[in-house]
Amino acid sequence: MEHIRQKINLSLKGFEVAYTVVITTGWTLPLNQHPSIVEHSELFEISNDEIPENAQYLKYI
Amino acid sequence: MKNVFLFLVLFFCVSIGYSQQYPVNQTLGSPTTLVTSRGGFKADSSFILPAYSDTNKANANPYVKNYAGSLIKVGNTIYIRSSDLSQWILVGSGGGTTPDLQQVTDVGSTTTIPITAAAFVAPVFNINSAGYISVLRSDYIVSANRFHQLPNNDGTLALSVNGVFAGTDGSITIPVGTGTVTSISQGYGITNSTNPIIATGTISVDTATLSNKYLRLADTSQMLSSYNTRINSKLNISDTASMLSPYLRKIDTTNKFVNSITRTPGKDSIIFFIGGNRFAIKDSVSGGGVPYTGATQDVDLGAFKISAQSFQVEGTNGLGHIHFKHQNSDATATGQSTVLYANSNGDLKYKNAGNYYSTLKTQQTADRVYTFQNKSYTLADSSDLSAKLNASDTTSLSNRINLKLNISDTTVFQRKSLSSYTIMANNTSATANATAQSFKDTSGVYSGTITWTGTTAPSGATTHTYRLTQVGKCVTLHIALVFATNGAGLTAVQMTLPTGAPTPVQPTGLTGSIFNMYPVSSQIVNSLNQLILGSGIRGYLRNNTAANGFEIYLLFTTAAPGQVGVIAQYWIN
Repeated sequence: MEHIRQKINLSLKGFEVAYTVVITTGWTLPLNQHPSIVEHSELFEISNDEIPENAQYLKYI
Repeated sequence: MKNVFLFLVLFFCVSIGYSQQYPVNQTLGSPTTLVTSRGGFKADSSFILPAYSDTNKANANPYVKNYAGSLIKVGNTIYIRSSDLSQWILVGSGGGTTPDLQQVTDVGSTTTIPITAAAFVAPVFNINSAGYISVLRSDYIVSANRFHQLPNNDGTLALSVNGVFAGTDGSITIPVGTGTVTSISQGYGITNSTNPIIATGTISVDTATLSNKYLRLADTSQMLSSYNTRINSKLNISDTASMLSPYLRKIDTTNKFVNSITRTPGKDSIIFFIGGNRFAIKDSVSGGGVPYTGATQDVDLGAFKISAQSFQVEGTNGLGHIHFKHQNSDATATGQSTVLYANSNGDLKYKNAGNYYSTLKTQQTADRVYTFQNKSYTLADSSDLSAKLNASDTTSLSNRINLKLNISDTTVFQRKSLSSYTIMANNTSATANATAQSFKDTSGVYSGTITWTGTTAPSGATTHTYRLTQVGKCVTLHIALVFATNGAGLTAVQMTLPTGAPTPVQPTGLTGSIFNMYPVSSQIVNSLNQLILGSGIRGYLRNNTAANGFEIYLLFTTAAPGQVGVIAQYWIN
């Protein structure tokens, strides 16, 4: 499922690394217009990867 | 004479003149040259046509056939090349012979119908129902109303039926049909040799088959012989050994008959078998005693027991003994035995397999039993026992033991069989036996759901743990969230209870969505755990938004934490 995630160091993928998903519930516009992407594209990115079970979430404000 | 000579000369000249050709030949043109005479071309004596043996030979000339009107001679027949260069047309024929049909039709019509059969085939005239005559080749397929052959020389039509032609007198003689039977197969009670018979063979009665169905009364001797043989084969009379087996049940598979009776060698017991089971009739016991079998012979009673008011064992030397042989099935070692006997003093002695003796000695005083395992040690009498057991203390031994062990309180013996996650306690206002209370202490990796509020969540490698201790209905929970990298601009974090945590009891009035129930103690620090962030953090264990679960919610001023520590205490029902 397409989602916005906080950018992670891909070299650490597979270890116990925090995977933060930005909560977009109720957001009806395209994800690339979400404030997290618009304001901090250096920190967030849109991903189609599968969300891991131990993901944490961020209410971006 | 002169006249004779003149006659001979004249005759010679006449003779020569009849067969003489032009003495001078003048050649004009060449085999590949066409000489054209402009104007008329007239021969004053003769115009000699080129002669061919047949028109095919003329066609072999590469030029002649290609000129319309070209004239050739074949025998006494003159042909002219047709205008379309497709054929030679008969112009005329010399007399002396009767022209054939081809020649007649060619002369009478400008259209020639050639007969081009590869070989001579007799033509056939046919007159149909309308009276029209047609000519056919005799090898054509002839339909029902067409003749097959020409009439013979007498003019009689040769009719045929199924290929049989009528004779010259018009009659048709149909041959008598002939043929042979191609196959004869044998049936029930019939035997063919060979089967099926397709040429020459023999058909005979199958006596073996028929004998099973009929009594063959006409052949009584054979019948009796046959039945005797068959009855014998069923009863197998000649083979008595085999007959005994099925009829006398020598081999008894149902265990209903005795199949073997023997006597044990050296003994009088009778052994018999029913099926595979062994039974024995032991030496008879009668007249109040077991028959004497000799000093060296044992009497084997097997599983039988002796029921009598007295039992006497009398040995030949006056020292009878009872021999208790240890059963192999009950012993860890085999061959162990104990011999019990009385000596001349009346002492009861017994000896084990290792020849170690024990003695129960008799004494002059009544009701005294002395025993010793060896001659150097003797068990004390009852007075000694009284001293050992402190008989002056009249309090019963059981009471004294109970006093020491508190045996009446049997629950103390249950301390090793507590239910899981329980402790024993008295949760009443009065003295009472302990009852089972919940107790649990567990820890592990925290894998609940964490939700941050702010700009950037802590990130990097994580080490999230929890520890949970439950005593009775009180639960104390510690959660440590550890990240490698600080977050940024964060103002709140919430986390679900770890898996396996007891369900909190919701205090009255605090059951709604995100209602805070139990305050928690928490702090946030940076990822290096060197700085406790002064963030005014406060938090609660509360109902979640859907009011169907619980979460710990911490609220703080904007901070960049890397670690979170929470201690929550709550109660359960």
